[in-house]
Amino acid sequence: MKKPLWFIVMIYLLLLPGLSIASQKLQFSIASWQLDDIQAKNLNSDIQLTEKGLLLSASADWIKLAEPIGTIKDITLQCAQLVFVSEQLSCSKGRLAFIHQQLGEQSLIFEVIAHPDTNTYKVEISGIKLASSVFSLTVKINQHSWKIFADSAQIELKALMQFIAPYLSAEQSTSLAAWNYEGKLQLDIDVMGINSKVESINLDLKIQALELSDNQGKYISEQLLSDVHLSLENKRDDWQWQSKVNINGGQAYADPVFIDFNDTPFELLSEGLWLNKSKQFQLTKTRFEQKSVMALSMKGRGSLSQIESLNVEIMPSELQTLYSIWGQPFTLGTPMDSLDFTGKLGLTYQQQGDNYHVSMNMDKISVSDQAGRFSLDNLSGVFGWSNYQQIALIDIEWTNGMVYALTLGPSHLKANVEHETVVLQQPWLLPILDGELHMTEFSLKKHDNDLPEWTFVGELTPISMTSLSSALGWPVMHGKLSGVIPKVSYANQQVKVDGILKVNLFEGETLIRDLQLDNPFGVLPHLSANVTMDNINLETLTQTFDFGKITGKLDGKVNGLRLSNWKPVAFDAEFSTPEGDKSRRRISQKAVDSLSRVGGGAAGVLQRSFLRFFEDFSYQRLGLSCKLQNTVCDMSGVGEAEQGYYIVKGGGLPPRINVIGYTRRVNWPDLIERLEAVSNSDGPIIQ
Amino acid sequence: MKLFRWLTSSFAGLMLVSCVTINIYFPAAAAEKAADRIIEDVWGPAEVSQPKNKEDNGVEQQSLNTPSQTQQVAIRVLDWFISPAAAEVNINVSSPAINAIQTKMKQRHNSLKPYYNSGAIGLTENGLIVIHNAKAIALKDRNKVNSLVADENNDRKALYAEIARANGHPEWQADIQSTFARRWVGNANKGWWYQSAGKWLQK
Repeated sequence: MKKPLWFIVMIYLLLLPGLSIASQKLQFSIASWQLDDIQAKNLNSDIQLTEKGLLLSASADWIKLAEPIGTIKDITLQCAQLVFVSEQLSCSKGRLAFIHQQLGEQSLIFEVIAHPDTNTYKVEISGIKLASSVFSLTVKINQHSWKIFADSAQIELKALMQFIAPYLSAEQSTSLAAWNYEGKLQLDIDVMGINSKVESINLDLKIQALELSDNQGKYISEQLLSDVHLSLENKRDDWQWQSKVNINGGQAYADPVFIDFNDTPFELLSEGLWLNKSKQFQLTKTRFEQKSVMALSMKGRGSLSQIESLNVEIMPSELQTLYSIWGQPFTLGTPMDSLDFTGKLGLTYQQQGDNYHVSMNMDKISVSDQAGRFSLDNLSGVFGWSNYQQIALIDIEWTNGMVYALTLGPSHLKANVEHETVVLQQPWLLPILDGELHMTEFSLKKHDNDLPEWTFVGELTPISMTSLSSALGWPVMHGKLSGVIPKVSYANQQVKVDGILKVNLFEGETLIRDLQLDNPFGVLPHLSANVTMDNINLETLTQTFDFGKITGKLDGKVNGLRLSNWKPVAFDAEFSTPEGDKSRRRISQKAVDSLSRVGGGAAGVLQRSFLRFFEDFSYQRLGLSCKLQNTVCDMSGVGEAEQGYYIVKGGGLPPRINVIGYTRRVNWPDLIERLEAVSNSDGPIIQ
Repeated sequence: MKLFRWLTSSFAGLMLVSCVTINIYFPAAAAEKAADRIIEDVWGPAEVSQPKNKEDNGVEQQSLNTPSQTQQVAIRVLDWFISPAAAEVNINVSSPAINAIQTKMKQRHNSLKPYYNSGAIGLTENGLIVIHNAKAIALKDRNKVNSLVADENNDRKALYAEIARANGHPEWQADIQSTFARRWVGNANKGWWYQSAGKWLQK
C-alpha cells in the first residue's frame, strides 16, 4: 500500500534530523535537494513561532517522488498550527496545494496527528478534486496496520471513467468502448490492511440515474437507481465476500426481457469465497428477490469459465407474473406466446458438471391460450427432467382440457426421466370427447434447437361421430371413430400418424391413412390425408344432409386431401356406385333436383313432364368426381355423355333417370354454396 | 406401307403417351403481379409507390422467365405438341385461407407503420421483417414490437407456403418468397429501410 503523497512530503520536511527551533523564525531555502529517490527544486520553508504554536509555510517549484506519484509542481504547504508536544506532532488547519499531471490542480485541507515514536499517525484530508467531484480521505496508521477511509460527493460516471481510462488494459478499453454510459454515483470505501497486505475492504455505492446502452440496443438501462454494498475480507489469500445489491428504480432491457424496477425492485444478497490460487469461487449463500414476482436461492461452486456445481431453488410463484416477465418474451412467435395462467409454479435445479436435473412443482395450474386453441385446467404435480442417470419424475394430472373443439377429460401421466428419455410407468389414458386415447409407449425428446419432439404408440377407443360432428359444428353424423395407431410423432411442428384411423360412418367403412398435420397451432394449420370409403349407405348419408333420399351403396376415395385452416383446398375425390352392387337403387325427386343443381345442368332439360307422377326413379349407377386445385373443381361422373358426363345413369325397372352434368370446371366456393343451398332448400321447383 | 403407317402411328402414340408429363416452369410475370396485388391490399393503395425502375422490372421478369437447362430441352420437345401459352399457369391468390391471412396482415400494418417510418423495423432480403434500429423503440414497447415482428413473419411464411400449395406446387414456396421480397422493397415508402446484399439501405 502506498502512503499518500502529501503525507510523505510532510514527514520528510518535518523530520529532518537535527532541526531545532532556536529563534522566533526559522527559514531555510534549498535550491535543489535529493534524498534517496526524492528530488526537490527551490524548496523554501519558514517556521514562525506564534501564541498558538508554530506556523509552518513551505513551497517548492517541483518535487519528484517515487512512482506512481511522479512529479508535483508549484507546491505550497501551510500548517497554521504546528504543535510538537510530548512525542506528538500535530498540524491542524493545514493547507497543501500543488499541480500533478494526472491529479491536476489540487488544493487540500488537512490535519495530521503523528506519534513517530510509536509509529501511529492520523491524517485527514478533504477537498481532493477527482473525476469532477470532491473526495475526503482519512488515513490511520498504527505501527504495521493501517486504515483508509474515503468518501465522495456525487461523481459523474463519465468523468470517473475518463480518470480510470489510462489504467485499463487494451482489452478492457475496447470492451468499454462498445458501451454508452451516463450516470451519477456516490462512493464510500474503507480499506484496512497490515503492511503491504490488504485485510478488508468495505464499499458502499449509491448509483443514480444510470443510463447504459450497448451499440445494438440489446442491453439498455434507463434512470437506474441502485445501492451496492460489498464487504471483502482477506482470509489467508482467499477473499470472503458479502454483498447486497438493490435496484429500486429505473427500467432495464436485456433482450428480450424488460424489467421496470419501480414496479418490481430487485434485491440480491450473496455470500461466498473466492479462492485466489485456484481462481475458483464458492457461492455459499445467495438470495435473489424480485418483489411480487419471484424469490430464489442459489448455491454453487466453479471457476469463471465453468460451473462445477449449482443448486437453484425458485420458491412457488404466481405463474402468470413469472410467465409475463421471464417466459413470454422467449416464446414470441410460437403457440406459447399468448397464454393466461392461474396457479403457482416452483422449481428446483441441480447441476454437477455437465449433468443436471430439474423439477417443476405445479400447484393447481390452469393454462389457456388467448386464441382459444387449447387449455388445461387444474394441472398439478411434478414435471422433472434429467440428462443423466439420476431419475427425475413426471407425475402430473389434470381435470379437464381442450384442444380446438375436442374436449379432453381427466388424465394422469406418470413417467420416469433419465438420460433425457421418458419411460411411462403406466399406460397414459387421455379421454377425448366420449372416447379415449390409450398410449402404451410415449417418448419425449428435446431436439437440438430446443423444440420438443414426441412420439407415442396407442389405440383410440371409439369416439361417437355424434359428439365429434357437433363439436366441430358439422351436421350431426352417426357412427364411430376408432383406430389402432402404430405411431404418432411430432417434430418440426408436424404431427404424423402412422397407421389407419377407422371411422364407421353411414354404416360403411371409412379409412383415413397417411394423416399429417402441419403447424397444428400455427397461423394456418394444414391437414393432409388419404381417405377411402367403402359401402356407404346412401340412404343414411342423404338423410343426414337433407339432400333428398337416394338408396343404394356408395364407394369412394379422396386422395391427397388437403385442409388449410380446416377447409379443403385440394383433393382428388371420386365417388360411385360399387361394382356388382345388388342393393335397391332408387333416387327421389328431391334428390334428382338437388343433383341437377349441383351439376350445373339446367333443371329444365330433364324429362320434366314425368316427374309429377313419380316419387322416385331407379338408376343403374351414380357417381361424381371432383379434382380440386386452386379453387377450381374439375368435375366428371360415371361416364361420358354426348356433351357432358353422367352423374346418374338410368337403368333397372322404369322409370329410369339420367342426370347429365355439363360444367366441367366449377368454382369450388360456388359449388359449396350450391350444396349448402340445396341442403337448405324446400324442394324441387316444378314448372 | 402398312408397317410404316403402324410405325408412325405407334411412334406418335408412343410420343403422345410419353409426353403426358408437362414441365410447368415458374411463371414469374404472374407471380409479380399477384404479389403486388396482395402488397397493395395489406399496405393500402396510398402507401404503394410506383416501381422506381420500370426497365429494371422488365429485365427481372425476363430473367425469371428463362427456365433451367433441362427444362429448356423438354420444352423444345413439347413445343411440337403443345404451345407454350397453354403450359403457363395463372397464379390464383384468393383462397379463403389466403384472404384470412391478408386481412390479419392489413390490420397489423396499422401498428407496424410508425415503426417502418421511424426505421425501427426494416425489410429483409427474404420477404420478412426484422428490427433494424432497436434504439428507436421505447424500452417498455420493445416486447410489443418483438411480438408484432414475430407474428408478422409467421403470417408471411404461411402466406408464401399457402400460395404455393393452393396452386398445387408446394415446391414453389422459395420462389414465391423471393418474388415477394423484391416486391415488398419495390413497394416500400420513401425512408423505409431494407436489406440488400447483406447491407442496410434506405429508400
